[in-house]
Amino acid sequence: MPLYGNELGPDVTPYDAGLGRVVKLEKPDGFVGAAALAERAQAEPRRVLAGLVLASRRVPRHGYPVLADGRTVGTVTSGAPSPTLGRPIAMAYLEPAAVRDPKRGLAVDIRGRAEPADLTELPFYRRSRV
Amino acid sequence: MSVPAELRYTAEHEWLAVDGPTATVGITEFAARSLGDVVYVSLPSEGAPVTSEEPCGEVESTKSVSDLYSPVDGEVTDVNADLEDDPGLVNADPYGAGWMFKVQLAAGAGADDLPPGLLSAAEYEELIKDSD
Repeated sequence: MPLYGNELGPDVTPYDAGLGRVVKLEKPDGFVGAAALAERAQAEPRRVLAGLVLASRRVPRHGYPVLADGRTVGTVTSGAPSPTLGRPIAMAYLEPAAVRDPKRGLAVDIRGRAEPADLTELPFYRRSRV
Repeated sequence: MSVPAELRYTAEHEWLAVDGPTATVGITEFAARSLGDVVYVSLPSEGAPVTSEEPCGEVESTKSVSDLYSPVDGEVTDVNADLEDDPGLVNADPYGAGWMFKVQLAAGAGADDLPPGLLSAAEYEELIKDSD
């Protein structure tokens, strides 16, 4: 889930964060920013909140760059080792082009070393219902 | 909290076991507990020179990343490869299986000729006693 201060902030629209469903543009009295948001709702997203799973044990932390072919294509917003998945996981804002090909290898620059990362669907884990 | 009497310590919560010209380095039980579950240890390479009080690696736990310092000057002769597969050894046995690297002390240095900043077990216990 996006957290204010990490995935959310004054410079992020609900559409960037995948939270477009919570915006009700047709409120009878309107609201501050409605016109700007209506425009963003139609436009191609500027960035996409994506999930990453890393191959190594090193943990991506807030602010680390995400790389594709050595070029920065986004930034990690949250990261942690996942005890359930046994791997470090992270959320990151990426250029829309970077998530179009899920097979494309990404990497996170962890203090100077590029650690391979794979795109994954959010949420990272769903408890199976018995 | 265990602080073995035969070891020397640093204010960065590392321990040092000197055996002739070689010193074995690890982090203390206090450090391991404070960090929480260690998930990754980055160690210097074998043969690399290390300088006292300069970072030569890092210890990453679920909560944070800390620099690993060398307590002495010298050359790394051996690193604990087991930590790559099982970094939890640092938490389970910080003074034993969780050791990190061995240093060949710079020429002339031995157990009687160590850097002045090192602490005895009693001094180290004094350092951590208010932090529990």
